[in-house]
Amino acid sequence: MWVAFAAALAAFPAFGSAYLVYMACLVAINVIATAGLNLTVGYAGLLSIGHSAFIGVGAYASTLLWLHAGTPLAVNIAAGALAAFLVGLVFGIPSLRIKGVNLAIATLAAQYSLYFIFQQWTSVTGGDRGLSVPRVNIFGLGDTGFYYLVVLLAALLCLAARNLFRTRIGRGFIAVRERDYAAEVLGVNVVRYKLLAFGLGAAYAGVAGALGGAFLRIVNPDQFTLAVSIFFLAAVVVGGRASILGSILGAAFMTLVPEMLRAVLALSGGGATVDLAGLLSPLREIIFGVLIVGFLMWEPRGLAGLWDRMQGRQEAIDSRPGAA
Amino acid sequence: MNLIMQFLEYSLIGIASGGAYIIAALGFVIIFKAGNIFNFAMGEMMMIGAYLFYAVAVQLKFSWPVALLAALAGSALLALAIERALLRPMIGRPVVVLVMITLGVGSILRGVAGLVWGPNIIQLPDFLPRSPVFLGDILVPGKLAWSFVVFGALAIAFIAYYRYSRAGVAIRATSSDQITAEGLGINIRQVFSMTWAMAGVLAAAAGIAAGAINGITPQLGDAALSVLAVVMLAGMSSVGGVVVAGILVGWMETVVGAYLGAAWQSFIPYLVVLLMMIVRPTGLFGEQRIERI
Amino acid sequence: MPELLNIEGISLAFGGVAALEDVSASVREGAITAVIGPNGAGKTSLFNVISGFYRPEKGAVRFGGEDILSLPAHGRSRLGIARTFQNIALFAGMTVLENIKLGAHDQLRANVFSAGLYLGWARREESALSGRIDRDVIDFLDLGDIRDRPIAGLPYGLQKRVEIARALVMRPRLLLLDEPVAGMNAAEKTAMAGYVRRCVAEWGTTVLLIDHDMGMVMELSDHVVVLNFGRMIAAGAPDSVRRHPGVIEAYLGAE
Repeated sequence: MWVAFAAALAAFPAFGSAYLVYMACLVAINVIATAGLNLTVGYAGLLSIGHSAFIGVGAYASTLLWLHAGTPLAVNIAAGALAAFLVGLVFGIPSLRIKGVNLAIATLAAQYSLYFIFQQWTSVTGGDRGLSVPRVNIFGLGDTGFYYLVVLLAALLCLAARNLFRTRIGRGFIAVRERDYAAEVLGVNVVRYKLLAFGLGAAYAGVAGALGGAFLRIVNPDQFTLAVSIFFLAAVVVGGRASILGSILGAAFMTLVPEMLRAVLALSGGGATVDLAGLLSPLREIIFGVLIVGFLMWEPRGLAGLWDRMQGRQEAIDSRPGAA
Repeated sequence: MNLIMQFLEYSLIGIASGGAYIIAALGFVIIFKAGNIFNFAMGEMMMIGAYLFYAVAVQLKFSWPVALLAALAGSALLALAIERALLRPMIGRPVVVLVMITLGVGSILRGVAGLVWGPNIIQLPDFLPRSPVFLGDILVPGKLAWSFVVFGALAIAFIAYYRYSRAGVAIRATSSDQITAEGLGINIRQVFSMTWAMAGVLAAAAGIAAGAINGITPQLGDAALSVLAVVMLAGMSSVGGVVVAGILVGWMETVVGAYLGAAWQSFIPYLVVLLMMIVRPTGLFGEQRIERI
Repeated sequence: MPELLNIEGISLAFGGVAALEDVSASVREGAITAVIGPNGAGKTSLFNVISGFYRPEKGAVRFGGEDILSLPAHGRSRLGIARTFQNIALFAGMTVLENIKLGAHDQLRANVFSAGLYLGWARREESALSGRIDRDVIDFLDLGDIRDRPIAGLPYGLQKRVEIARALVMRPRLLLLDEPVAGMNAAEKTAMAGYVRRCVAEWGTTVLLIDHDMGMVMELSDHVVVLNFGRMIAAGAPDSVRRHPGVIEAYLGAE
């Protein structure tokens, strides 16, 4: 089944319109960011509401390197990931002393601090205007080339994330989430694993940010706000916490819902005196909110849980890794 | 006016604007104390309260005392509905879930407000005396000064109620030890509902003040992030500490804003939170809870 | 036989309330020592000091002659100290096998990169570990049927066994069992006692256990230490402790 899916992905640009390929790239980028957040929040149980800041760090770092040093894309992406990883480690420090909601608030504060830096450090980041990114050409294939790059990276990173949970690293994360005192007794260095959870999740976000910058060709602070962090948190929750498949489904769902909404509105509104643009934004917020609350209340394992049920796996366990 | 007088003026304005913060922070804290839930939708509850007031006072053209009552009552009802329908069933679920639910609720409220009243800023008609209050050479805007007086009174009344009334004792008992409280005959579910209703009232009051001073938009809830700073500074469990923290944060924001500009002003609450997290996660007045293994 | 664990003058207080006061005890290698006492006597607190969760105000804990109090909690398993908990500390969201593998956590060497790649090095490490667990522990504790099942939903008695399996994976020198038979029926208790005896006999494990089932404790243990109100009031062979007047009073007085 996976083979068929992979084949479909590979053939997609031949069939899909430029718009669809564009959306697919966006979904793939969001998948990477969501998978990273899932590592931190879903698997390791550390509440992080500042994920968009990491994406921003990746975007700015990679773009700045490109603009100032002209390095190839691969190097820029790696730099973005590394920068985000380091910032993630710093963000993770509060998790050593505080848990739960307090941690969420600390990450919130840290995220805003980064936003503040993005906005105020005009000489480096271009402030509110941001940075504009030159066009990138992968294998000379233009947009299609970019599509393949992004999809490939997303697939590799998801695979790597899933592999973590076949090893002691992944088990360590889950242990830290469930009962960190017991984990300590077993030799899990809880400090190291919490920091790693933040750092690794951030590194994924950094890659997404680097790719996003190259894709959208602009990097500015408004791309990295609290609303964006909540978007990814919703993607994790709706898709399914502690599930790589969930990250994929959640990212796809959250990215495509506003588009479908826009299509629906355009169809039904069609020339009426209703101000579509004005409706779109609040409707989006309502739908996001309803989705989040709805899934949490009635389908706590998210879309991945629905998928499992459709496949006949009936077990009612919470957050089971290795299901996909 | 010399520098010292200017500083004093800014300080007083800051302290006065802390009034609304104190009220909203009290709402946060009692919900947290009773149910251990962090209500990320507090800002949106403030916002809805402001819009309700606007709807009744301006759109429906009732007198403003009536509008005030309607807004407070409506907000309390909304809070009760949220608690009953969405949060009660989720007790015992992990923290991520509860946080996300309140975030989701906030999103829904923002969307609804945007749909019903549109995205533009709405100014409330003046119902507080506008004339500035002069303390010697220092000028404090009338709205601020009066709102501070009103909120100060409200805060004192609330804290007195909390400390001395049976309801207040029930809340404190529940916050301290739910199981024992229930064993003593306290109806915990009622306590939860009560704290949310009270928080709704407080949120509406704070929201109306914020709306009166700065205008109402669906994003009014963003101001709640400053309230967060107040709560963190006080320590999540301290009702009395909230008053001190509210005044402090209000003061800091205004003074920083005056001397360093608007960007730094909006940054201050986060800086406060970060510092508190690093230095003293339980806040200035909070209690340390030892986790038994 | 030499003493594997020496507890010397441990005093521990929580905000003014003394949990342990000048407690000293020795645990002989290869023997089964029990710590008993009424509820709140400080037994689990003592375990928590040994594990590294609590820092005592006074005293020392020597393992194989070395003071371990300066080691962080996660550094003590490497010495060969394993532990189970009163309220089963298994990890939901993983299978029985995965939980047990965590017992060998600090013997594994995979890092983020080799784990992400998985093929090759990390994979070999994992299969080697699975094999070892199957041979040593799954069969030993009769867990074959539930090896790949998730923890959630397993009956209490089985979960307790899985927790012990996890503790045994690394062939610990010292095994701390906190109420290993709590909530079990007679048959399960007998089985558990059997497992414990086999560990000691086959692997030379030293066992330190807490429990309230006097019958089992007296029958299983070589040596008994009695705590009451944070103080040690008696220590010795089960028979002599059973008749100790202070011990009898402690249990009767606790009514």
